[in-house]
Amino acid sequence: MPETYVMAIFAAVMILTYIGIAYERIHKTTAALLGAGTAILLGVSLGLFPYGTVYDVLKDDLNIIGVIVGTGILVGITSRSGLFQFIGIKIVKATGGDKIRLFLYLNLLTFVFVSFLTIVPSMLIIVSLTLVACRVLEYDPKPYLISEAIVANSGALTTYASSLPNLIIGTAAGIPYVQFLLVSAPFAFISFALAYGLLRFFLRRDLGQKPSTTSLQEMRERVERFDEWSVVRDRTFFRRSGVILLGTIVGFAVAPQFGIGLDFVALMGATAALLLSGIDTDKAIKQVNWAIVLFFVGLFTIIAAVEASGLLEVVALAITDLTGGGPMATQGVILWFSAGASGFVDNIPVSATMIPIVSTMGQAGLSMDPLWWSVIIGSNLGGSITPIGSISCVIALHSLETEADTRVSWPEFIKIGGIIVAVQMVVATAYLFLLSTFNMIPTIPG
Amino acid sequence: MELGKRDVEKIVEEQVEAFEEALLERVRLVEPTPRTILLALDHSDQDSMATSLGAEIGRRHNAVIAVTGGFPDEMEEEARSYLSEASHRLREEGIDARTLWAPEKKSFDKILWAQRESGADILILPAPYFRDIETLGEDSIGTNLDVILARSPIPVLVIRNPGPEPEEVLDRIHLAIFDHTPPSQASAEWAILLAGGGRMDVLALVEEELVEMMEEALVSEGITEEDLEEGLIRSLVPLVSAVLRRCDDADIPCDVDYVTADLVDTITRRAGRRRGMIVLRGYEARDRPGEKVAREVILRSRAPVMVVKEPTRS
Repeated sequence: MPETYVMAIFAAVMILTYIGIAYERIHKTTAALLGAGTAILLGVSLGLFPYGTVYDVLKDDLNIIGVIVGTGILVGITSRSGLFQFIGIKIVKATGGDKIRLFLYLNLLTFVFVSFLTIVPSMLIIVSLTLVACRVLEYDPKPYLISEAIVANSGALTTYASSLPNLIIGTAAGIPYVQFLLVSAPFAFISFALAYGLLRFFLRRDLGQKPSTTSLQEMRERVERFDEWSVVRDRTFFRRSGVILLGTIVGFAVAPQFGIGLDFVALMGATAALLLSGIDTDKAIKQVNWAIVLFFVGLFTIIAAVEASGLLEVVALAITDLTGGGPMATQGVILWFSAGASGFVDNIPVSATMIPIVSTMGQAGLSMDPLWWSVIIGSNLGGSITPIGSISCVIALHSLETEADTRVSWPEFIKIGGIIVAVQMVVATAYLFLLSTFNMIPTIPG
Repeated sequence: MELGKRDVEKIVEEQVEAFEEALLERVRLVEPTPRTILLALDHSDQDSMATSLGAEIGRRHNAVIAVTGGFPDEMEEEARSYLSEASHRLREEGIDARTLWAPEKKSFDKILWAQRESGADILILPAPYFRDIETLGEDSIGTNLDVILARSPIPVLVIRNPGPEPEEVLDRIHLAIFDHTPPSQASAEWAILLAGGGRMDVLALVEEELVEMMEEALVSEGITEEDLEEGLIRSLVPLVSAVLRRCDDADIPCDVDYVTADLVDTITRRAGRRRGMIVLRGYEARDRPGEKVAREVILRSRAPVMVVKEPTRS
């Protein structure tokens, strides 16, 4: 085990990098690459690992990067087909302009879109639609966007491909796609219901009184002005990308049975989308967010360097000591810690950092299966604690500020998001406790 | 963490604009009612297809057919008998048909007279593919057709090839939209009418050359090729969405492609690959060559082409 001062140095590098990532003084990717560069220099110069270890680390994480690039291309193509915008407008029209119904439908839409499209493209579509709908109806967009930011994190729990923490943990732990449908998807619905109920309560004043019949009629006329067909650019393109998206989801579910990696499925889905969507390949590939790929390269390198310093092992052992090695207590601590840290840092570095910690606990004899679910649930839902905890909050609140000139302060958001996450965590603790007690957590193969 | 705040701002701004466009005044399409179809035969191989296509459209829309021809006066006796025979065959098929003989000298005048006389709503005109090419040159579609296209106030359906069965032609309508003008809107209205029972492919086109020209002129304003393309495409959205909406109401399967390319090349290639009929807006005699897209499409296409110039009569 390396010296304590070495661990302290690496802890400082990691904490400073995570602060940089969380507070965006410099670009998050730059912060991650800077942290990785520093960690490599320190690791090599202190004789902690030879430079070649960096390649080993990146080689091990190539599958995650493959999944991210593949799903990035696929989702990018699918979300540009116009059909999600079409569905969005249809849903807004179905509300008849009613304030409360609009609130419910937009939240449900957020949940469903995030489940299938991931957070970023879904939020970009829904936030924009909400802003325009509220402008037309002369409603304050604030309660709508705050709630969408929060419920998006519940939707992110639904499948393996719904969020980046799921992809990272799912790939690293080798969790089959179907297990997400058995463990995290049911809790996604529970956490949505909890969040929705609490949001209705917290935002009751903003959502106001029931309007009169006359004003309802006027509101209906206003939403009827939306022409959903104007956002459809190519129906063949949509049908094809819809089929490919569904095919990829099925591929994710069955791939492990054929000994195929999920990165292969994602990249084949992307290739099919490029081939059949009719979109120019250069343009489609350019639109992949390569910053996120480099961000992951930096992040995985830092975590590997910190792991080599022995710090994460110490943290893992400290948690085990704290809980006395009890499985229920450990999964509770992991759940709450993941949620708390995700609220203030960013759920991606948190979930990535938790991988070696949970692995160490597994080597120490603890069953890792419930711990992975603790990290997944905690890191996804924890993003709702603060305005910077997850990308859904960043998109919603930043757009609210720039497009509607409305700022939501940290205390104002935490008062809502913090309480909702606390309630969700209490219920999540009970949920995981029950699943563990009744042996309902499926065994992760391998 | 996937996007910076600046990326978020840019994308949300674009999405907001797209949703705001969905709120613009809707284009209201009028449904044309073809009561009379004028069939102008010329004793070519294309006559049979023109007749059967006219009969099929007449049957579908309960229209009567007036049969005429632009034959020279010295052929009057033979021509009259030929036209009567065609009318007779149509009547045998249960279509109300009659013959018209124009007291005019020139072929195009005869056809235009018959059109006024019959009060026709559509004119079907055989114009064989590459006929008289040696006499007229490769860039000519023929004087008759050129004059008729420039002067006819009603849609002209040009038959280029003695091609497939009428059902097959009407099964797939390729509507080309490259601007939002009253003739384009009228072409959309006719295309929807003809597509009933079949399917529709909408080609929303932006002329590649136009983008390049505008880009050169606007480069100093910091406007990129992509912005220009997007702006030009957006100008077509209200009409295209009206078509989509109407097709949806009428249960007509409809696909849309927004493409920046060479107009004529794309239209002819697409229709050539998938068969069916092309529908697009026409032009005036005074229009510049670049605006006579229909003329070029007719010249190069083997598929029937319907050219619509005047707004639909409601």
